[in-house]
Amino acid sequence: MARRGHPHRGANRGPAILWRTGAGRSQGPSGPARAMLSVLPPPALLIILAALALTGCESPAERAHRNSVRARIERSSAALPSQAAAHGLSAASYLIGKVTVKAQVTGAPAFRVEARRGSIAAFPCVDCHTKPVEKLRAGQGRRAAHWSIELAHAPPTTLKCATCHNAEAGMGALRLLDGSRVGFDHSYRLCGQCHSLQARDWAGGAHGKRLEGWAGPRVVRNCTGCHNPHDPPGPVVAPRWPAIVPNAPPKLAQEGASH
Amino acid sequence: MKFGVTILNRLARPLAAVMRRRGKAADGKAEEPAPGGGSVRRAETAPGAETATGTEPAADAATATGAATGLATDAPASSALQQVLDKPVGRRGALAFLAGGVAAAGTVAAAATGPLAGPDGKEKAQLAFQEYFKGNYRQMTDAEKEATVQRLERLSQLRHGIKAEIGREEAPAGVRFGYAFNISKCKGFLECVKACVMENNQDRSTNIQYIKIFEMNQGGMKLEEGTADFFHQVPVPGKFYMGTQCFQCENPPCVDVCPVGATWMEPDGIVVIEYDWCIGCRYCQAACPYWARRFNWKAPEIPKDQINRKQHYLGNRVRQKGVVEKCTFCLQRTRAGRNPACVEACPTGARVFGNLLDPDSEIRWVLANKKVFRLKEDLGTEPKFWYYMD
Repeated sequence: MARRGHPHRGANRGPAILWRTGAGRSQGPSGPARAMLSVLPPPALLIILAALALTGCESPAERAHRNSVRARIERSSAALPSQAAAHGLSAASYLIGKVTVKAQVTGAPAFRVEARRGSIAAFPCVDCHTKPVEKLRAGQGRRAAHWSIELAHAPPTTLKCATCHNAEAGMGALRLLDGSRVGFDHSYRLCGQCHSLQARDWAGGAHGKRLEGWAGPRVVRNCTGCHNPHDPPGPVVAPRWPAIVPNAPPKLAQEGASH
Repeated sequence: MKFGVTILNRLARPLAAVMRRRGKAADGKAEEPAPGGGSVRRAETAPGAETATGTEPAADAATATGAATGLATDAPASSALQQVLDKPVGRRGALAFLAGGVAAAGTVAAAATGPLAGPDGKEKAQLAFQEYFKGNYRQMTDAEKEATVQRLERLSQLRHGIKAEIGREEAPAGVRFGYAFNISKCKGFLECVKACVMENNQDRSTNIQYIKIFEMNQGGMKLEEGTADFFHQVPVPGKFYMGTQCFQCENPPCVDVCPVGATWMEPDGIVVIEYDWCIGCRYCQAACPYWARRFNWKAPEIPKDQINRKQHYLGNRVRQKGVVEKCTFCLQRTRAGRNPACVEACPTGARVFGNLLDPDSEIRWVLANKKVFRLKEDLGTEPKFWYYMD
């Protein structure tokens, strides 16, 4: 644009010169542009600029995702060697005395399950179950062991005693839907046939109870460790009054509880 | 000496005038610009301030000594005052008398009630003195850390008769602790609350509890309408139960605001408090968006048979009046590979705990396979405590 001349110096001096070069405008650009052009031919420069324009910068959402806690956790853990070697801790000493079996699940890291056979009062079952159940029932007339068990699990069209208890194995084991035998310690395979979502959660760790310690061998309770199979969901979630801290004053409004 | 006498004589009348007019400032009558005179003039106008003559304070010292030693102070007070007034005493003499009187009173009071009372008094006082002047735990050498732990164990024996084992295990390598809470499974049994208090030596009289279980109305997530102080049969139909405690944020606001650096995040992700460095300003308590921190308004009272002897310096050792405390994910247990007391106590298995850096851990499975959320996500605190449901 034309620069207005000094009022006292006469007429304007013509269009403003945007930059000055020592040798005049016919020589081309100067300064940094010239330096860069001296290194790279113009087509390479164009390619670089095009690449930058196409890839763009990281959006705030992408940066937040990259820096999210989960992404950082996964990056940190990927860089580490074996976990147990890293921290060297183990809760195995607190599990001494617990009878456990290796879990027969696929698709999950190996873990162990608390055994249940030792908790069954009248085991082995063949001590009494020498004859088929009908013959036992019609037999000598003495009261048998567990006729007081009431089955309140599912409608009778879905579930009867023989659905789960394996007569072929002398009642000493359980049976899956296709008749195959499964021991009492692995009852989760039986329960998981219908309760597949809970079984999946249980194998992963979102359901159930872990015994002793985040470090060290993973040992979890069996299904029947918490749930009564004849009357689920069993004793652990039955309604009750809350636990009381001993020697505390009667329940007061705690700091901040009222807000 | 001569100046002192002159000043006394010159002040007798103005002092009486001051006493008559009850506080009206008398002009300094001492003409000599002696240091004693100048200070006396200042002292006249400042009620109750130190004087060079030692008349009123001497009376105070006399009555203080009398009170401390349990002697009658009415008749002897005036005669003592008279004796003091009659005795010619200069500025230095008056100050010496004052210092002696106060020291005598203080010694008698301290001997009767203070830490020097009793057979272990000297050792207790010595240990308390050393503990008072120790530095911040983060700047201690290993030897200093060991020394402070020894002192604290000995003080626990002397003060409470409890033989405490105060550990100082460091954060294990390759570990970042994370926690998940299943709001479908929690039934409000409060076993976690009880186990936490039994594990962590909180004050019983003010009922300090790190864990709060909110009974919430189903259909929404209004924490303001939830109640944490319920006591009735649980679970109540139509309600669900949600537990809060310190979430050990990755970006903890409590650490940022501490003016003295008494709280920080350890390498295993737990935010810890150095109880002996905390000044009790409760700025961290104000900064925490989750109401996780508790303050000791009085010295903690714990029944002797319920004190947990297995303690950690940064964890569940017995605190003192005027410091903040909070859930530490039971670091005295978790740094040994065990679960926190709340996780172990929960009867329904609603609590999941583990190492976030272990891809095979239960907590990582929950984060990858269940619908998880955190509280107040928009604040950017990045808590390491997730909620999920069945």
